[in-house]
Amino acid sequence: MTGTRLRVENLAVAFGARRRLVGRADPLRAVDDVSFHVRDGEILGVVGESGSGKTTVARCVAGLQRYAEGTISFDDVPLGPVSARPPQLLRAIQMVFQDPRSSLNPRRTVAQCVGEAWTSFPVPGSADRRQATADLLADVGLDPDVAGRYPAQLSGGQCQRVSIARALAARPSMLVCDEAVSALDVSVQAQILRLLVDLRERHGLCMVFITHDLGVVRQVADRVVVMQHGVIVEQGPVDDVFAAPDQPYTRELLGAALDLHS
Amino acid sequence: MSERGTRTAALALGALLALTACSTTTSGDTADTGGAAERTIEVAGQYPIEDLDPHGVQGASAATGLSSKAIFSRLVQPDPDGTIVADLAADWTVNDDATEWVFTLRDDLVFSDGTPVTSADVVASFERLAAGDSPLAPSFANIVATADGDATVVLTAAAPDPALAGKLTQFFVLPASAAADPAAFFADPVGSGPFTVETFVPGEALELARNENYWGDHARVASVRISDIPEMAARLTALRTGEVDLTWGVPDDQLEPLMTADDLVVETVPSTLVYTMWFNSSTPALADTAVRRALWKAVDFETIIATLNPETGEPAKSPVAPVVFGYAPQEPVAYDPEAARAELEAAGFDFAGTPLRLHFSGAQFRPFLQAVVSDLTEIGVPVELLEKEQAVFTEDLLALNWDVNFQQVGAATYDAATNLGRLYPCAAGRNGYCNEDLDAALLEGNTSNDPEVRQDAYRRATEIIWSEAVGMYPMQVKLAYAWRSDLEGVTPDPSGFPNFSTIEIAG
Amino acid sequence: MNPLPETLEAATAAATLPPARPSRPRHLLARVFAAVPFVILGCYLVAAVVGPLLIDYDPVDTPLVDRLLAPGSRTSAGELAVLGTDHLGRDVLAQVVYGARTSVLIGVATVVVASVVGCCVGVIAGYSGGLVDTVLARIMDITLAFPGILLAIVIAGVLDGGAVVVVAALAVSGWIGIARVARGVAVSVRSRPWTDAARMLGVRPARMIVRHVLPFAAGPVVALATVEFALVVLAEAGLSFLGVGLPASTVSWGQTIANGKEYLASAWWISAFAGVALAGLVVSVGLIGDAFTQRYGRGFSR
Repeated sequence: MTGTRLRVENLAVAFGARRRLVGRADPLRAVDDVSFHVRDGEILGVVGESGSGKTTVARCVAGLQRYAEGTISFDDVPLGPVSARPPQLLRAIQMVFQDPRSSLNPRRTVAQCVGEAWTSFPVPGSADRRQATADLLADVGLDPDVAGRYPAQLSGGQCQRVSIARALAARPSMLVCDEAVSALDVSVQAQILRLLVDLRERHGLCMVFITHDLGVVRQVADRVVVMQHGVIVEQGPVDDVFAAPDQPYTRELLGAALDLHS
Repeated sequence: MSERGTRTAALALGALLALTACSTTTSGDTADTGGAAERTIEVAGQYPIEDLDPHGVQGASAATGLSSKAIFSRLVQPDPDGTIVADLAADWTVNDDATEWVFTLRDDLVFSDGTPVTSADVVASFERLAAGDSPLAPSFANIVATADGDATVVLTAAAPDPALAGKLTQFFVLPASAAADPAAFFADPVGSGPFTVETFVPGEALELARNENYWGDHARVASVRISDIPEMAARLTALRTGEVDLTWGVPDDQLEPLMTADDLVVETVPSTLVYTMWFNSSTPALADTAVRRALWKAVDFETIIATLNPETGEPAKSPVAPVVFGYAPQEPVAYDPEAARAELEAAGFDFAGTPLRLHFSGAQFRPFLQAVVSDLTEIGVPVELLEKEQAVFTEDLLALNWDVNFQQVGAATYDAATNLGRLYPCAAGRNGYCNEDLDAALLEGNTSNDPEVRQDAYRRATEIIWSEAVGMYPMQVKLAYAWRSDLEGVTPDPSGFPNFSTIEIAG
Repeated sequence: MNPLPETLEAATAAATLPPARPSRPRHLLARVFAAVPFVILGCYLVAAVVGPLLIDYDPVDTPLVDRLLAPGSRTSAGELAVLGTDHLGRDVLAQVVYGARTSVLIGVATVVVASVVGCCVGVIAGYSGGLVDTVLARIMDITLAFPGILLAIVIAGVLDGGAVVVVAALAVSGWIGIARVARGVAVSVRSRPWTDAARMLGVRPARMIVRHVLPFAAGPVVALATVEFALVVLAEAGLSFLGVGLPASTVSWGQTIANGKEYLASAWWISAFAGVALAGLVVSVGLIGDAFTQRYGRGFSR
């Protein structure tokens, strides 16, 4: 658990800087001067209330969002937008989305969703797709029979497992989980979180885990980054931050979470 | 169903109704209830009147001819039977070689504004016509008009012109002052015809009022309005509802319901028009007389006329109509498809060759020509029917860009000189046919001053044209007039120029 | 899948209202009515495909002696003219049947051309976004500003007649509606997480469009194309009625109606049967199009 894999330095993203009819609108800085890193095999939690810029950070890392300033690199290779990434880098970082249903194309079967990766990245063992799909589904705790079903025929938790299987199909090094469990029931949340932790062990993945839920961070993350209004207000090992928060905002967040959980 | 479904249905039905019924009008409430004598006679003309100038580019058109006849007068005019009679001229003489014509004007002539009509007006009008861009101008190109006193006009032709009197039926006299500023003149024209112009909207309507200064018998009605109703079905609906009092040029299939209507009168009159279907003799496939004659035999014109034009046509016996000077009846060509096929084979006709291009203009002729094509196809002659827009048709006609041509050919002058004499000489090059004997006969007919010699010359010319099948001459056109039965004094005119001044409303 | 909500609704209605009459037959009746346009369209297709094999017709052949025969008359050859004959003695039933084939062929060809062009342009515009989208969207708006039928008349009038020209002239105004719908779907699908996921898996734009965008455009496009088919059939008849449509050697309802317009008072059957055939096709296809729009028009149902 030593080598730094993802490195984000001085990241800044501005919205609303498009030309207007009259004059130029002031750009809204969604993310400003954000720096953090993720080490090998580590799960980094990013917390903050909605609008704090955590999802924007996740999309920048995933390459779905262009950024104005700063650098993002993975294994010391700069990360551009997805369309500019070389295949090796492209497959290395995969994402699990918030809404399990809309992250799956409703017109495609589970097998087609999961197998999509293999048309771009032929992975050893994917030649026999049926078996490979069944293995992947088993890996995420799904019955191989769901392969022929459509997302609408699955529960939310099953959908999220399929999403995870799809991400794993590319044999990634890192998963970016953007509120990956917040749309699920509490009991299902726990199962998915367990699965993610389990996968980290088995596949040696590192993760960026975006959430507004401190309880979730506490369960899975090794270190945590707390964001407010687009900037990082505090970061450190989970236990340290939760035990002795430096910042009033973190304390506030913790307080709110305790109220909810008690 | 949903609201949208109903809307779609309504839309489709509406469009259908528009398709099937867009040619009928419904207004029928314009028949005046006022005193019968005050009523305007409503006329639906055959063609829209675009221009009132009888010396202008529209001068030869049927529409301008109609308006001119009401507004202006001529030196001479044709009788309904084709005889040339006096109009402005009281009398005329011609010298022996038909080069000098002397016209003596009536002595009581005035224009509608009260000024007298003099020989100076006639000469000025003649010069305006001859120098202008009217299609009629070439007919008067080598003729000089001179005034001899106020009441005598002398026309001197460079070459003998025995048909001049006939040509002068298309020459209308305007005040000499008209030439100075035609635009101002035609804004409020002054003429010596039975009517004056009340209002005129080009292409739509011409309203005429009785000319109280007319030198002849005054018009019996105070006013006449000639309007254009482009769709025949709409025109006839207007006639039946009383919106229109008089119309003509009614197609045959529309006559039947008019004839059975109690409040309408229908009459037909032989016109000067003959359906003329030239063969292009410069097309290799049609260069052989035997081929042309065989093709003529292959079409059952008798049946076509009997079914499609029972009232408005009869089999023609000459390229010109009986009312035209120079008419010489021939033996109609009998329908015999077997003989036609055999003769074509004997002449080596290529049945598998490129289709003959039969071109025409005017949708009203389409059924007739479709029937012709049907008969020719029956014996294996491929024909392509090409309907062309008028301007394209005229261009292609002159360029001989056709194999079979269809036209209604008339003789507005009531003289074969303007039909046979103009269209059939080799030099005219109108149909690719050239024959020295024909040229000689036509020259004699066009130049002799002896009516009997001319008549004989055109007879010989007609025999050549007929027997050589320069074209097919299937049908003599009859013009059908229909009017409300409360009109009296309507005389159907062979040229489509009815005289409105004799019409009155029965009270 | 879909009748489910209706069933529920009927059930609730029955539960809340006094049981005046059983709801089941009414529901059945509604389904029967809904099937009527499909049955009618089927009849047209059968007539278009099979009719010409059974009935012999040559538009060039004009048996004049049999002209203007009323429906049910016998021709001189002893045949029964079920729907009468036209002004040149040609059988009206044959014209209706052959006209069905012409209308269906022209309609399908036009709609296919318009849909392919419209889908391509619309999806490319919507999926690309940015400048490409702006330019294409403006082109669509400008083309839409011309009245479609006028544009078709101009094109068909300027170019010499023929089926290809008619199809092109009608497709010129038809593709825009399709393109706008396809663009709307593409814009909406583009921001869906599953396309993000696919992009992260390295799926190329062409494959992306085919796999993840077009399937969602298909429903609304088919629904719109059905409505457009009805309009095309009507417009083709209009062009032929005006004489700028198909050449006289092909049989078209528009031409038949035009041929009969002078005979509406004396021989109504020439225009009437072709007109009824046209109206029947247009109305039933329009109803089917509406049903499709209700079912698939919104794009994201399954």
